[in-house]
Amino acid sequence: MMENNPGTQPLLEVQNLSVDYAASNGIVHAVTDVSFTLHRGEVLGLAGESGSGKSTLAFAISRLLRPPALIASGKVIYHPRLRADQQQFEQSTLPVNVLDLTSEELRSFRWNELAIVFQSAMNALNPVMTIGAQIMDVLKTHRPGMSGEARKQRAIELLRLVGIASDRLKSYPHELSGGMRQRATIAIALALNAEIIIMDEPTTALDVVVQREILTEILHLREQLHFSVIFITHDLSLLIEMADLIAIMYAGRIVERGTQRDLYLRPRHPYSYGLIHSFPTLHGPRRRALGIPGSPPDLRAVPLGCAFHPRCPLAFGACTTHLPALRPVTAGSESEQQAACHLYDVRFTSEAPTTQTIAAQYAALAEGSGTR
Amino acid sequence: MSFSPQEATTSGSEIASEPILEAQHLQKQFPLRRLNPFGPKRAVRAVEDTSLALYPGRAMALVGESGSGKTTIARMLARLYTPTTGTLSFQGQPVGANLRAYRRNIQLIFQDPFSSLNPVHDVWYHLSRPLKLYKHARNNVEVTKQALALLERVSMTPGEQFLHKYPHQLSGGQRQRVAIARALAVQPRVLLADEPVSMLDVSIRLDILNLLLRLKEEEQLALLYITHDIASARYFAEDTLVLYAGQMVEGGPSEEVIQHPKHPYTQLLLSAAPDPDRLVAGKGLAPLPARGEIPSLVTPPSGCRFHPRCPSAMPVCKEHFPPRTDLGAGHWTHCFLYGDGSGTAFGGNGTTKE
Repeated sequence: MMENNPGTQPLLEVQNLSVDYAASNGIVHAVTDVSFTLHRGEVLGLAGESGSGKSTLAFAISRLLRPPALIASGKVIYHPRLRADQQQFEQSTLPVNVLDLTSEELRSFRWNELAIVFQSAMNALNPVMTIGAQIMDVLKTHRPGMSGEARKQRAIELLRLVGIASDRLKSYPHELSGGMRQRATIAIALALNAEIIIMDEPTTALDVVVQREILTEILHLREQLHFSVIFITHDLSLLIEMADLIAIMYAGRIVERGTQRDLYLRPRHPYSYGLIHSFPTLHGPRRRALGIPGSPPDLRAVPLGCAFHPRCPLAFGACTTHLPALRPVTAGSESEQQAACHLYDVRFTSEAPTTQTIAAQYAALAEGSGTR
Repeated sequence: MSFSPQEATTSGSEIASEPILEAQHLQKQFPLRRLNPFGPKRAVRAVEDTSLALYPGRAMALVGESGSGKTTIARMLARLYTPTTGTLSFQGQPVGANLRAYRRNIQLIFQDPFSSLNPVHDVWYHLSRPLKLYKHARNNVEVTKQALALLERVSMTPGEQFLHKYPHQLSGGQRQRVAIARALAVQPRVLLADEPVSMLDVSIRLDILNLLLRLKEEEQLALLYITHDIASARYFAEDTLVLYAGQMVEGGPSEEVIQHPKHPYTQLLLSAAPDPDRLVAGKGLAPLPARGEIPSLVTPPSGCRFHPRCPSAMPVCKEHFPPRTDLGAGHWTHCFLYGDGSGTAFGGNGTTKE
């Protein structure tokens, strides 16, 4: 469906970003050494379970973190582009490090260039302001020169864009259904034509039918307005349908990334395989599935070596001692798929396993537990 | 009335036994406070005319969006709510006033294990309550012995390690296991699981579902599985019942309902469900056939409540709730698109406005 052209310019480069929470009983490494690049017009999916650091990562990129969280290291490089239509965050196209912005610069960076849609629309919207007032509020703050009438016209236009009738301008959040509220927050995110929209589980609280409508809407808007999306969710099956690239996080690190197709058809990391097969399918044979045994690690005491090794059916000696780095899974091929797993490291394994091998190991595990 | 719920769930020859729990024509209305004492009586019409039957060793899934009445049905079956009309019978006997005797056999598992366990009590206490209340254990030594056995049954081993832990020391999956063990402590015949995995991490959901499946098979429990995820209904339950805005719209063997959905609402639900296989087939995001949202249940649409959103609505859909049409192999639907519209199994009493 959507053609992603990997040749386009990068928009946002995250380099070796680490975020810690200074808790009273020790430091929690919520995000460790995460790097990725978002290109213009791309939908990047971040998938992972709760506690995998995906929301912390999004908050770090948008500089929304407050103590006790602190960004331990890393860079977030943003590549602005000159825009003719409206006022500019920077009058140059030199890349900037978002983490170095002053609060003044940050103010113009946010919403002009990067907007966020949060999970719970009920909490994200102000309950005592009408939807229209909240959209116009954004315009008033960031576009002081705009006249009142122009703001109102823009608000109506935005609501229409996300499929809300313009007479809803005077509605309060509680008068709207869950789906409409989430549409309204998307309208607010679109108000200034941001280049990047981070969506943090935007549809998790919604019913499947409404969820599907909103996702279709987001993809449709992206075609029209050419923004990039960082889409965070725990529902990998959604991402496979809508993202161009997917990164899978586990215990604060990216363990695998690749195109949606590669990930679905040929997951390389055993965790990715387990995650994909944690969703019962609608078609095909009804087979007994296992999910992933065990539970996600406590981030205060992440297992040594690969954090996934206590749950991994293919773990071997090196996994408990050496931390795997993200590396291409197939040397020399065109695929950009990368996995952080010793199984694809020639120093540890002579032959990389195929998806079938991983499947067989998981199946053996399922057999073993069935006898219990 | 020739309708019997057994027909609703029979999917061939494999069921020999009688239903253990049978609900006929359940209806629930929650009255609303009248601001004007002379105004009309108003009520939330949460569930209309639902009949279902649960069999030992079988699971039935209730599928629907929020507000479709799934939880209300489960709570009526557990008699946490008294049905406005309709009858419940357990092992052929109508459920009477002795609710403790009834609940000895019927237990609920709630959605959120973070709030269904008391944070100031440990696992031992949670398991000891039902054991003592239902007189399965007479003293604390017996409680400990049985609690360990229960933890073993929900795969929390070694049990000693968990017995004196508090809910905050357990992970979400472990908490839900404790909640299941607590339900099992009563030694029920029927488990009503209200979205038992939707609050859990994706990777451990199947683990909990498999645990329930194992209990169903090994102990011949009858299970009601409430979910909004139709794919998990296919995985988990032999039979599926689809609800929309308090009305039963379609039901039958899960595989039949999901592979050959007949009612437009079931079709909508299925096309909206995430399905990575669509990507592989190269079809992309399927456009949704119908827009809109679940209607208000205070003033529900007349006739079939799905008609305002239905792409193939006909004038008759506004007037009557369609009768049940049997489609063979235990599959049935309430829709005027099928059958001759007169209903084959029963007729007449389907309208929502009396």
